[in-house]
Amino acid sequence: MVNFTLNGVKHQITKDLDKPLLWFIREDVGLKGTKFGCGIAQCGACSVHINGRISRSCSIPISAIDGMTITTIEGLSENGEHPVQKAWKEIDVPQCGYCQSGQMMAAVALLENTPNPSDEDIDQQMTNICRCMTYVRIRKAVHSAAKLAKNVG
Amino acid sequence: MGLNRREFLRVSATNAAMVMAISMPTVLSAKSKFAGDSNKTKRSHYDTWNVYLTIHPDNQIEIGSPVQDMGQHMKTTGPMLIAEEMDADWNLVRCVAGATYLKVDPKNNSAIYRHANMGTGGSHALRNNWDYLRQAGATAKHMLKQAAAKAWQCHISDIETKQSYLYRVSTNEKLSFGDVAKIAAELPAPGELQPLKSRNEYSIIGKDATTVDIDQITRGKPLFGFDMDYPNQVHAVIERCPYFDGKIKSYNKEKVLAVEGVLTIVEMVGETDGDRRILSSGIAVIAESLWSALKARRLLQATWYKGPYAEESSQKLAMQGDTFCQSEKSGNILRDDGDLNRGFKSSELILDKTYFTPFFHHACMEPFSCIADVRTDGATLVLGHQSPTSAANTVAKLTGLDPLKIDIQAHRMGGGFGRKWMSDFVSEATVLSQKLKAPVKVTWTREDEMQQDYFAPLQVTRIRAGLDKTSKVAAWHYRAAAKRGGVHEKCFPANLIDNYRTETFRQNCGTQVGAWRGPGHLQYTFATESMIDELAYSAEIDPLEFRKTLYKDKKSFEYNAYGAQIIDAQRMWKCYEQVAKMAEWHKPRAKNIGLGIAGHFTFGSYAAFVLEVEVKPSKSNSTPANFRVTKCWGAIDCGLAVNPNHIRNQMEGGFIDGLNAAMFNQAEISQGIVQTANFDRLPMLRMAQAPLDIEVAILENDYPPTGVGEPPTAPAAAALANAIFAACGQRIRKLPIKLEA
Repeated sequence: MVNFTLNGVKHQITKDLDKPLLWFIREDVGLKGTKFGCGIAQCGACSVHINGRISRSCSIPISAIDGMTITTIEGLSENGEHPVQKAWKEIDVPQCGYCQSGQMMAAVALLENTPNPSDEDIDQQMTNICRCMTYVRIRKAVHSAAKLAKNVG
Repeated sequence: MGLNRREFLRVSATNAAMVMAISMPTVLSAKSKFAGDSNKTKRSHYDTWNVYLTIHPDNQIEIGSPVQDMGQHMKTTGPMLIAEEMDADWNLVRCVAGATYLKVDPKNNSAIYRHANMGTGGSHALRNNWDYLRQAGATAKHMLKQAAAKAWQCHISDIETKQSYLYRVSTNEKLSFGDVAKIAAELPAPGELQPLKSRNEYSIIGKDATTVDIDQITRGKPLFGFDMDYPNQVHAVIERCPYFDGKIKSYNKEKVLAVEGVLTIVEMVGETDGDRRILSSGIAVIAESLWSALKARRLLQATWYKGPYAEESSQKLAMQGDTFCQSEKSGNILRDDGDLNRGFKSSELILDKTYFTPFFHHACMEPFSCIADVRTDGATLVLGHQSPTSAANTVAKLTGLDPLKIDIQAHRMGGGFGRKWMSDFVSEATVLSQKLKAPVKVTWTREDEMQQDYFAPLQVTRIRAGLDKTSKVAAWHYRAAAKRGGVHEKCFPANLIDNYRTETFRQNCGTQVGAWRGPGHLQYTFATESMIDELAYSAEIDPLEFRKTLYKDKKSFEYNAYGAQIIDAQRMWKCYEQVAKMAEWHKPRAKNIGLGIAGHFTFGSYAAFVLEVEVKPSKSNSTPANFRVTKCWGAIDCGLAVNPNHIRNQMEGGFIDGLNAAMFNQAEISQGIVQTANFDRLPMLRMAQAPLDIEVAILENDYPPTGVGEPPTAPAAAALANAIFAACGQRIRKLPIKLEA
C-alpha cells in the first residue's frame, strides 16, 4: 500500500504499484498537463515535483513515492499566477506548447535552488527537450520569472 | 459578381448570440499578383471560406480556429485577420478549436474541405487564407452595422465601428456588438463583397499578439489530441513490425492475455503501395487501461518475417548516393541553362565538393494518438492531424462510410513537422474500432513514433562550380541523390548563374520518407550555401561581398513550383544585407570566433541568418574540438508582418531546429531497423547548445503575407558550417557536424 499527496489531495494505492506516476496522474486522476514524451526520463515532458525536487514521472513507479508530496503543473497555482507561469505568458514562450508544462516545472525547481540563475545555471539545469526549439524564449522567461519572484517575495 | 446569396452566408440566432458561417466566392484569392501560391491548380479545394463566429450578449466573441495549429501559430493569426476587419476588440476575442467541415467531391467521391483548406503544411495557411479571413470579418462588421441601423432607425452611413462597439455619429449613441448580435443574426446577408481596410487602418494586424492558448498551455489544461478521452473507450497499443514490408512470425499470446485488464489481441495486416508504407503489420494489445496495454505489450516477444529490406542501412544508402553523384552516368536533368562545358572551360578555378545529409527524424514532442468510434451510421475521430481531409478519406476508404458522416474532431498538435500529415495512426484506430465495435484510443510510444517515422530523405549532393578570371561564377553543376523529391532546380543560385545544370538520382530503399519542415530545403541549402562560401574563400572574396555580386542586377523569376509563383533576387539580397548589418559583419572577431551567413527562399518567404560560433580547440589530438553557437541574427521578408511576435518566435525556433538538424538529428538505420528509437539514441539540441539569443528583423514591404513556419529552418546548417570555417578553418560537408581535433 502506498500513500502520497498529489496537488494537496491524499491518495492511497493498493494495486498496480509498478505503474509509472505519469500514467497515474494522466489516466487515473485525469490531469493532462503532465505530458508523455519518451517514457525513459530523457525528455522531461513529464516533469513534476516530488517533495519539491524536479522528477521525471514517466520513470518513477508508484511504489517509490510512499509518503511523498507531488505537485504537477495544475498544482502550481490556483489561477496560473505563479511567477514562472506569468513569465511564460509575458514572453509568450510556446509554439506547440506540448513540452511547456515540463519546462515550467523545471524552471520552478531551478529558481527555488538558484533564485538568480546565470545563463550557465540555466544551461545546466534546464535540460528538457523542446522540439519546437523555443530555448531562446525559455531562457528569457526564466530570467524574467526570477525578477517577478523577487518582486513577489 | 453573381454571388449565390444563399451560399454566401448562413446565420443563426441562438440564445441571443450570433453564429455565422460565411462562405466567400473563389475570385478573392488569386487577385494579388504576388500572392505566391498555387491556388490556380487547386482551386476546387479552395472555393469557399467559412468562419464560425459567435458573438455573445456580453460582447465576448468566440472564433473557431480556421486552420489546424501545430505550433506554427495559425490559431492566433487566423482570428486576428477576422477580428481586424470586424473592428473587434482583440481582448474580447476567444479562440477555440474549430470543427471540420467537409463536402464530397463528386468526381471521386472523396472528402474535400467544404470551404477553405483547414489543413496545415507547406507554410500555406496564411498566404492562402489572407483574403478570405479578412472578407469574413468585413462581412460580419457590415451585418452588425445593419443591425445597429435597424435598432436606431438610422441610415447605415451614420454608423461607425471601433473596438467591438458601434457608434451613431450624429447622436453620439453607442451599442456593443453583443447588443445587436441577435438582430444581426436575423438579417439577410449582404449580396456583395465588403471593402477591406487599407494597411494604415490596421489596429490588430501588425501588432504583437500572444498565443491564444497561452492560458491553457501554462496551466496544463487538456488541449492536445493525446489529452483527449472518449466515453467507453478501450485502449490499444501496437507492437509494429520494425522492417519495411515485414510480417508477423510469432508472439506470445497467452502471456499477454493473462495480464489483468487486457481484453484481446488483434493482428494488424500491413499495407504497402510500392515502396511506400501505408500501414505496418503489427500486434495490437487491447486493454481496459493504457497501463495494462503498455505492460502487456512488453510480454509479446514478437518475431518477424523480415521482408525484402532486412539488410538496409543508412550508411550503405549514403555510399550508394555518393556513387550516383560521382558516376559518369547522367541522372535526371531538371535544368540545363546556357552551356555548362563552355562555363567550365572559361573557369580559372573549379571546386568539386560533395555534401551529406542524413535521414532526419520528426520526433514530434507529442507522439500520435487517435480515438476512433466507428459505428454503422458514421464515425467520430478525435486526434491531432495536419490534414483533416486525409484523415476523413482514410476512414471513408476503410469503412465505406459516406465521408459526410465522419466527424473529425481535430485538436492542437504537439508538433507535426510534416509527420502528422500521414494517416497510418488514423487507419489503425479505425480498423480496430471497426473490428471491436467500440471506441478505441490508439496510443503511440516514443519508440513507435521514431521507428515508424517517414524521414526527411537522406541526400548526397555534389556540386562542381567554376569561377572565371573575374571571380564570377561561370558554371554550376548540381547533382543530388535521394529517395524522393526536393527543390533542386528551382531555388537560388539558379537564375543567378548563366551556365547551370541540375541533375538528380532517385534512390530506392525500404526506409520510409515523407514531408519535413521545409522538405528538401535544408539539405539543398546546406550544399549550395556552403559551396558559395567555399567559392568566396577560394577567390579570397568576403562571403557577403561574393553574394552581393551574385545577386547584383538580378530581378525576379518565375517560380514554377509549390509555394510561390515568383522568386525575387532583390528580396533575397535585402535579407542578406539587413542581417549582415545587424551582425556588424565586417567587424573583426576574436580568435576562434567566426561568423557564417546563409539565406534561402522557402514557400514564398525569404530568410537570411548570420551566426556567430566560438570554437574551443581540443586539448589533445585525440579529442575533437568543441563549439558553441553564441549569437544569431535573422532577417525575414514574409510580406506584411501580421503578428511580429510569432514571426520572431518562428525565426528563433525554426532556425534552432535547423541547427538541431545540423548538430544532432540523424536517424540511424542498420539491419533494416531504425536504431535511433528514443532520445537516448537520438540526441536533440537542448538549452546548453542553443544560441543565447537570436535577434530578428522583419523587413517591411507591400507584399501580401507569406508563411513563416518553414523558411527559417533551411539556412541554419550552412550558416553554422560557414561560421565554423570562419572560426577555425575546418570545412564541414557532412551532417551531423563533427569537428576534428
